[in-house]
Amino acid sequence: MVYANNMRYNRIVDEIALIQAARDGDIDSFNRLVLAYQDMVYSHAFRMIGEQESADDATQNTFISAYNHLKSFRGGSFKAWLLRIVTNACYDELRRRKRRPTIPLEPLDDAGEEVESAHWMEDPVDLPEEQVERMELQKAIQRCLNNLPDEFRLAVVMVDVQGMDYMEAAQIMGKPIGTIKSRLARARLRLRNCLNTFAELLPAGFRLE
Amino acid sequence: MNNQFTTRDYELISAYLDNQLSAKDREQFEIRLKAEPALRKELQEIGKTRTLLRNLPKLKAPHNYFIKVEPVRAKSSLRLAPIFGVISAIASIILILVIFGSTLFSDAGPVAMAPAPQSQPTTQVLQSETERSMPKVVTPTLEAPSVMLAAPGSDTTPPSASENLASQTPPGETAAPTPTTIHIYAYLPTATPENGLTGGKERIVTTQQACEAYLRGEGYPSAADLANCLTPTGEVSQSLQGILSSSTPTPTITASPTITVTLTPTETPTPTATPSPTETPSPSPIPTTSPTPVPSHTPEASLKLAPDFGSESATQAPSPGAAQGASNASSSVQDQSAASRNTSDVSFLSYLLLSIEISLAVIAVIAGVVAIILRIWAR
Repeated sequence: MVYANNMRYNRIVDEIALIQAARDGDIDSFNRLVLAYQDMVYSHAFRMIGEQESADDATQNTFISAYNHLKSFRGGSFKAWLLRIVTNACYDELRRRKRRPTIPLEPLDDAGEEVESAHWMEDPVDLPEEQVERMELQKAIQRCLNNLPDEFRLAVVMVDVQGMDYMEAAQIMGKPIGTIKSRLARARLRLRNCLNTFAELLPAGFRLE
Repeated sequence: MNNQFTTRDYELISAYLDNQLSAKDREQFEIRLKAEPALRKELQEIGKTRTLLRNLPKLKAPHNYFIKVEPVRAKSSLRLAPIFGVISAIASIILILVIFGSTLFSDAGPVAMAPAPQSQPTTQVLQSETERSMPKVVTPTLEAPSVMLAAPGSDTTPPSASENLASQTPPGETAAPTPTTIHIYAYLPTATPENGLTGGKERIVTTQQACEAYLRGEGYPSAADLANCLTPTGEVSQSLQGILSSSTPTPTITASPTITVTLTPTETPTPTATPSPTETPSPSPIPTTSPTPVPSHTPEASLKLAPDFGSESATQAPSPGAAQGASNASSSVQDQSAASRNTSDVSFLSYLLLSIEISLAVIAVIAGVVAIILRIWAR
């Protein structure tokens, strides 16, 4: 326990040192930060936008913007700071996509398979069929997320996908806590309804009832 | 499904799931849950949705998003490149304008170049300065400038000149070496070939009279007359020039002596006679000149004088700008002596012009090359 705490402490201290070095112009230090946070940033972008190519663009823009605006990071949670940047990048992408005639829904295949294999290794009892079902479920969840209004989607991705608490989410989104609570509740409700319609098509094991 | 519950209810459910309710609110909510099975069902379903979301697999980035250094460098150099491109373009444009402009104004040959309006002031000046005994000098015609000839026998001017001319002396083109054009204004208002001839004759007569008068110390002939007041040997002209060293230098003046020299030694009738048929430009005797009228004399005489003024005329020759337009020519007619100063001024101008052109060309080339190099390097 103490060791774990020490590890976490060291990690935080290391991160502070990296950030300071990056602010002083050391690009290698910044790239090490990129390595630590790029999965988180990409996940957030993908869940928000729902499409791989746009999520890729948003992630790239996020890190370029972060590098250019390092001076404006005044301490605190580096993750929260990054999430604010990627949220803005996602809104830009969403606005851009709305101008396009068609918005294709991207299957989770590549990313899904990669993660699924890890889960499969954890749980050897899982059969390939279950893997397929899991992927189908993820696709369904993403489709229901895409159907949400942007602000609702952001709230639920912040809290449920990224694991932020209400206060952090309120800070990142720049809205009062009451607004966050309201949006979150309504988002979850809509998701429940959406998944129920899918559930009728899905195998019994995944139904919510 | 949602009809019986309010938004507030769902907020309670959501907050309860996240453990965000206050102790008091949580107690009240749990009491309600026990009492309302529908509420329990909602709680369960929304709870499962929340769990599914939380269990979504963390996605991995499809590739690394490292920052590379190069783009920053390229940005700064790319920012500079357009500036050099603009400099090069501007220098090229100015260079073209300068070359074109200098060619435009320097080339007196093509008659049309001489701005007609300018002739008037100059001829008027001439008039004012010269208390003329010349009978017909008075009104300068607008066509006078057209008299200017680039080279003896050049065809461009003749047609217009022949109509208007009173007296001209095409400058001593005689020999190829001095293409300078000397312009002497025709004073005869209405010049026709017949008039020209007669007017020329009359002019020659009056000129001679004026020269004689001057040489006797009685009068002060006009510059044009002075130019004509030359002995066959040309010595007089030189001495006259010495006397008249005052000024208004013009290349034309130097040339005119040449011409006149060639002409005067020959009988007056010859120049008048021969030139007119051969050279359209000058029905008047004097101007005709050099080239055609008396081939034997002209070249020698002109050559004689030419070396004297060789430096001046030579400098004039190469510089197209020298023959500065009819206006200059007419004003220069007045003063012979200042010719040397004139030529030096003109040569200075021509060198200045040349140096400007060269420097513009160099700037344009260097800026263009730098812009290209920056763009290639920025890649």
